[in-house]
Amino acid sequence: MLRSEARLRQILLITDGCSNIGENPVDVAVEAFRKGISVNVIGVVDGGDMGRAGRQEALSIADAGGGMCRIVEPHNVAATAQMMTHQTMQLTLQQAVSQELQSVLGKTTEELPPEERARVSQVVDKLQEELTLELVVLVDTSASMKHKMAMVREAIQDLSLSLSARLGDSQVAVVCFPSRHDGMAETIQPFTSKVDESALKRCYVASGGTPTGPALRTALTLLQQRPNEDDGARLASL
Amino acid sequence: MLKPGTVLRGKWSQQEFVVQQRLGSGANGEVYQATQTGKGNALVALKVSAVSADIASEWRLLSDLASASPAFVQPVLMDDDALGKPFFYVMELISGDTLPVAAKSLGDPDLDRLFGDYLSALSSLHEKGYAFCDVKPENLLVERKSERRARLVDIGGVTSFGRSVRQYTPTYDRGFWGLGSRTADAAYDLVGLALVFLFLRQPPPADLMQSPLESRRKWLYSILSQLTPAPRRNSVLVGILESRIRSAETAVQMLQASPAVSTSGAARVSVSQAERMDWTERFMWFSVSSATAATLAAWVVLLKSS
Repeated sequence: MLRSEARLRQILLITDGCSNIGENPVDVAVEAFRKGISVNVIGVVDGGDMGRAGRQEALSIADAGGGMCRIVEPHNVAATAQMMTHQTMQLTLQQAVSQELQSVLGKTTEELPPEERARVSQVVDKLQEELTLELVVLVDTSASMKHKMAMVREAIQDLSLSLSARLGDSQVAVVCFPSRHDGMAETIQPFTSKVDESALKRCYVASGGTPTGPALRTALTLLQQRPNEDDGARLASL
Repeated sequence: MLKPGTVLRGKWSQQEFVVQQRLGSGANGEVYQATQTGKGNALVALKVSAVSADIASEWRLLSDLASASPAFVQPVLMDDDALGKPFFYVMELISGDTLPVAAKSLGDPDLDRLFGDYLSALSSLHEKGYAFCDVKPENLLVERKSERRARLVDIGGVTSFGRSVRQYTPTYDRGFWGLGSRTADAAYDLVGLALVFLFLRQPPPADLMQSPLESRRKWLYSILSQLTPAPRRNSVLVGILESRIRSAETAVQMLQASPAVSTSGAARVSVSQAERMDWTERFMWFSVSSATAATLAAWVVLLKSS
């Protein structure tokens, strides 16, 4: 079980509204989660509210994708993105370790006495720092995001910097939607250990619809195309 | 969310807790005020989460920190509700106010002392190789008891040195103000603490939080340039924010070394003391010279007579 979890894979969706083009994003999130990829959602609001439909969709995507959902002001995007990424890594590992224990001891972590559980948590914390993380950040660049983009760019840059302080490798890719070319999704930064500032500048705000579903699909494909490096050996020593 | 009156029965400890009210909620769980039935209804705080590993992980850290400094919350026990979920740990209930609330009724000498106390607590945490990271007003408590001791709560952000900070609040974050990286180190906590104390008197305007980094930095430096040498903590605040002070221990020493010039009255006292010193000095030289003269005269008389 842990072998397939040797890399932590996540999608972070940053949006401010409801999708209106292409397949249902909730369906794609379900598919992602089934493949061991967690989907987190940050809804960016400016003073007001996201609208009921947008808020509902954001929650449903995170729920289906086994991730978290937070609705925040632009200046809180950076802090929220980092908190979520770390929390979700921890959650994924907790589940993996718990399943592993179940198969070895026939007990879940929750059935262990408190003191032993604290020792298990130490292993989880260590893994969380050391495992490879692959993260696709999906940025909604529809017209309404225009005055929030500076903060969002800063947040992605920040997230990449913060992740580079981990002991393990962290690979981040950035996808914007709608694309200026075909109105769907565009990968402006392929996987890298350090997100390039000039790449983020290519995250233009474009008019058109909000193809959240197709964008999630692009992120999913990106993650699945990654070569499967064998981290299994290190984990086997667990 | 637990309703007041909910009873949690510890599966392992057999202790019973009755929830009274919610004190707060964070990224991984909620904190409640509760009474411990077996211990004469003693008041305690419960950290409750549906995720057992979060509780276990925090408990381990809490036990470690409590041994570092009494300023951190003291742990009592970790347990699960007998009916399965939720998982919880029990800690002492601190009866206190957040720093900004307490500051309204405290003078500068008290705030200087609290600043030093928070620095000392952080210093002992740093010795263990951890940074607190999420230093913010809500996590800095001042006890209501007469000693008004400084206490630090919410260890959710505690991170080993060198790792990335995972939980922070932009207003008190070194990176947000362009004062350095978001990697956990001693200076990260110092900057957070300095910003909390700085903003007690001079909170940043709401629209500044939305503006670009350059204007944030400009505002911060303009505030720093207006600081007076009194109260004592000010010179240490500036030292920290200008990256001259990078360890909590140094900050504590600087705070103790900085002269108490908090009131003009104090300054007058030292001037009059200086005058008195001057007079005694003159008296001393007069005595010495007259003694020398007397001795010389005695020798002259002695030599002449022989």
